[in-house]
Amino acid sequence: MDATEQELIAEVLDGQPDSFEPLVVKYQPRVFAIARRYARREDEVEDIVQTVFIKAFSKLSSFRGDAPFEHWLMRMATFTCYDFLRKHQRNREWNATDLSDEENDWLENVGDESGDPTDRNAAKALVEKLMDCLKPDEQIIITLLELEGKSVKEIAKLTDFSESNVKVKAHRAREKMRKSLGNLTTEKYL
Amino acid sequence: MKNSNDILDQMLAETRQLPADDRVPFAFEKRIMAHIHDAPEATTAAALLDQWSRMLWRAVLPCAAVMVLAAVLLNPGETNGPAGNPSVGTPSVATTEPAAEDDLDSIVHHAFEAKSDK
Repeated sequence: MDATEQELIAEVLDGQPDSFEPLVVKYQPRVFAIARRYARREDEVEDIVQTVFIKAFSKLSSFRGDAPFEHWLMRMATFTCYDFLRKHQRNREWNATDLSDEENDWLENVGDESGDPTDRNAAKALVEKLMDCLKPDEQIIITLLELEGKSVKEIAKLTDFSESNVKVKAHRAREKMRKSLGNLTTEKYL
Repeated sequence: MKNSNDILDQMLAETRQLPADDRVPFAFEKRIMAHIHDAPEATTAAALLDQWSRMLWRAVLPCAAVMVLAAVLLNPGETNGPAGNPSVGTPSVATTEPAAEDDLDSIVHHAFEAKSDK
């Protein structure tokens, strides 16, 4: 951990809350990026980020300093996102008629070997739609594993699930997404 | 036409290649600091409550162990009741039902008596 970071934390714990501001400035882009993986509306994203930093401030005394502050904060951000997903569970099955033109184009091009499905935003929108059929814990795990490229071990540390549980949940989530995608594409070409 | 597994893999790979959206609204840190300054008591109280609840959870197991140990050491064999007095330790069966039956009998009896008196 940076010496300055350690000093800032010590100052906050010593009753100088203003010393928390540089920590917020340093880490808020990362927390925003994490929150945007799970929340769609910008006001929801801001609420999540705000909750993360207020929680971090109020629980700073429980930070022991044996791991970097960044890890502690990212863990807190992941748990806050998990709470958000539990409160806003979507459980929605999408139909082919719900897809936008860009999403339809992406699916048509990906089916064609000579096609060029380069609209990554359409791919992202499709992934978000497929994730709506997942449970909150499955959403967290598939996001960390497939979109953030974290290892099973890292995910287990971040989420408090065992490594085997992470693997099982990831497999189950992928199966659900595959099935949901199968339904979408079957409907589309029927 | 690819199968849905390949399509899903490609979809996830393309999403992964998108740069993380880490834009921060203007002066967002000021907003957070304002919240922290506005409610220092609330955050301190929340921290104290959090610490207190953690301490309580930690105390659950030792307390339960002490309770069980105390129960075993202080009242050996209490659960079976003292020997020679079988009524101790057995639940006293409610006797209200027979009494109610008696009452009913006596009411009917009185009714018949009153009728025969007439």
